[in-house]
Amino acid sequence: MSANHRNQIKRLVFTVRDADCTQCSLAIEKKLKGLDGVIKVGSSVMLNKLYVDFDETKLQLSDIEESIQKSGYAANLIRKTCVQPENR
Amino acid sequence: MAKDPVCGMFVDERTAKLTAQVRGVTYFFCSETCMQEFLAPEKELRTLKIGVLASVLLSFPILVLTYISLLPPSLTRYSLFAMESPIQFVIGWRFYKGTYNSLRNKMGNMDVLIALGTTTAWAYSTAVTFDSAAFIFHGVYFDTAAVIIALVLSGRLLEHYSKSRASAAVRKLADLQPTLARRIENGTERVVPVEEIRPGDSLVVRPGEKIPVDSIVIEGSSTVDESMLTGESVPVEKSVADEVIGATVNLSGILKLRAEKVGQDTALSQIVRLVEEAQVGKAPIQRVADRVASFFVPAVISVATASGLFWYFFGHIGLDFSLLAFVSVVVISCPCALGIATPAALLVGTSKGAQNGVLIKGGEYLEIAGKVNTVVFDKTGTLTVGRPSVTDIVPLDSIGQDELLLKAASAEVGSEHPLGQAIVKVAMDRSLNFQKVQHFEAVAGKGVRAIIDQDEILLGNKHFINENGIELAGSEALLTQMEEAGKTIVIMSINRRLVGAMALADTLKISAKPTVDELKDMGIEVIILTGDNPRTAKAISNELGIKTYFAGVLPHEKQGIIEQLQKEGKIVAMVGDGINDAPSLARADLGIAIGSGTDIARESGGIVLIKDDLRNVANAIRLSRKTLSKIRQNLFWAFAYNVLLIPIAAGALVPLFGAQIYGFLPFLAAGAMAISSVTVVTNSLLLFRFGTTTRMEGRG
Repeated sequence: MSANHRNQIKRLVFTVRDADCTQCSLAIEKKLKGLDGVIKVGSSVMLNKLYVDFDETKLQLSDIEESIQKSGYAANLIRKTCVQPENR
Repeated sequence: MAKDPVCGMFVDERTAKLTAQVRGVTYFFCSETCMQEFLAPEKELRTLKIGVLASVLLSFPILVLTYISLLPPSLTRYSLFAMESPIQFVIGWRFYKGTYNSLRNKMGNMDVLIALGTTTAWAYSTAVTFDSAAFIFHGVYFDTAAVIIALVLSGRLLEHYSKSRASAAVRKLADLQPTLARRIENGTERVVPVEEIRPGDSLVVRPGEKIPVDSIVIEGSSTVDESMLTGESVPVEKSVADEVIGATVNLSGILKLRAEKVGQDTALSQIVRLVEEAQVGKAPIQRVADRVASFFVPAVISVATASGLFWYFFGHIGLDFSLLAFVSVVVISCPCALGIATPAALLVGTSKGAQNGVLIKGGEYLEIAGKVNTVVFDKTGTLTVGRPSVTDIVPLDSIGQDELLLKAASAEVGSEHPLGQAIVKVAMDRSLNFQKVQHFEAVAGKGVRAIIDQDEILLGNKHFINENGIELAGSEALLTQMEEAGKTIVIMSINRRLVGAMALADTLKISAKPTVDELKDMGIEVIILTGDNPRTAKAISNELGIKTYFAGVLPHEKQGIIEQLQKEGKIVAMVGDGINDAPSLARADLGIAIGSGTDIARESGGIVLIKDDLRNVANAIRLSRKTLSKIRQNLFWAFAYNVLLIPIAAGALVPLFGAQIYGFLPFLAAGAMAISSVTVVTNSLLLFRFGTTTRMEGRG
């Protein structure tokens, strides 16, 4: 990955509601993983948080939000940060 | 002073437009997003509470009417239908909504099971109510549906409370974020929101106030309470050029600071982010549970259907009891307890770590830390303080110790060599009054020459002294002995006459010995890895009671040695500096980085220790072991629960007690289900009792 490309990877953090069981978050994760440009998805049932690392050159925030909405759960974007790939 | 409860930003009460009242407290928000973020879970909780209350209240008359004949049978049935249907479709609407989502995503969940179970009871009872002629038995089971919903909702409410207790530690950490700071603007102090602070700003912090952002002290000295971030209960002394961490509390003096890191870059923000993100990385142990959870629902429905059909066609217990067998199985099964077993313990374990300055970056690291059986320590800077200090002052002439030190220190005052600086430091610690130096000259790699009171002082290594034609005479043996103990010797002469020597060594951190002892008590093998010479490595190993050490290892060879150990079947944790030792930390099964500043995210390693206290290596491993065993317990109970109770619900006890047990088995099923996930979370909460080691003395 070129240094330039790296900067395009963003991490979104959402709070997800009504999805307090493992299967609910697994469902959202599965849906997002199907999108081209999504690099990593993770969720925490305990904190009701959803993390999405995606490539900004391939996808837009609205695509991700739409995909979450389609899975039937409500998500609230709380943070958007750059990903430092050397750390994870 | 108001603070946004979500993002922690300062909000001016006078101009704030976004406010909300919750449980008698007024909250102020910086933005619509934050307000929504705060209110949505509150609203959800309220809906849930109303649901619990309403379903419990409505269940009572339903139970009374079901079990006491107050009305004629058919009127009873119509009344029950009228009372239960709102529970089923209004209060219970969430289960249908969840089912719809679940089917749409092709991922079965809890809601499907509850909706299926209760709808079955409701539909059968409704059919009996409106067309009783078509049925042999006229009993209705509206009470079953109502009680299941009431119990399941109560269980969710309890689960909500226990989950928020588990996540409270993370919230508390985020709440440490200071809101206001005193900034010096054109020579005057002005109070500003922390968000306005930029790197380079000058700040003032008075005693009792929080340090607003990560900064460097530029004036004043004080003690600072860092316990909230490092777990260190003893206040830390701070003076000019020291680093102070945002959110820690200034205790005694006024400090003037230069802001270094702000916003997302502060140590606190990094810690909060790390703890949160640690919940996301999946521990391998969780994957099994997740896999089971993903095919759990279809499997349970199959078992339930099979048992219903079995009892109807082969057990001949009647349509109603056969349906109740189906309902019991569906309702008792609990994929939630399985799903939450790992995350609940992980959250409590990692939060407990964060409170003590141990940052575990994810479940996978915690799991491996719980299995580690070998700990490899880097020596210089990890086990030792990383710079030499004077260990022996040996007069070899009639000169006294203090005089020897005084002359040596005076001669070295201008020296930039670490050995020279160490000598100056002891003299300063003993508050000796330095003598004036007339001439000073440093001979690179050898020593110094200085003139004090017309006396020529030479201070340096053996070569330097030899070169200057000074006889070491009978002192050789003593000097060699000190060298063999891994020490560096500095020899001094006055006017070409040998007067004494000083031994210097990189000393062990005070936490080194107790940590090694503790690790050994835990059954862990301890190994030293160092680039230093074998003599020094041996001396340090002896002092610490460590049998295995690798000395003279070049930086690029460190990884090879770790691989070697791994090949011997050891599960290796490497402890070192998170930046310089990064490759070997990455090579080991687990890297433990000893923090070297506020840039926590840059440190490599699965576990980062914020404070430079080696005892946290032992604490990290013990906490991981405890958490891992809690996860195993949780998973065991969650599996055992389903494995034992599903057969009972399916009718394992019918041959013993008869089909009549289906009269109340669905209630028990719902009750058991309701408490199962709460039990798992509550069991995890016990991890908050974990105590860190504070032992400071090594063993004999």
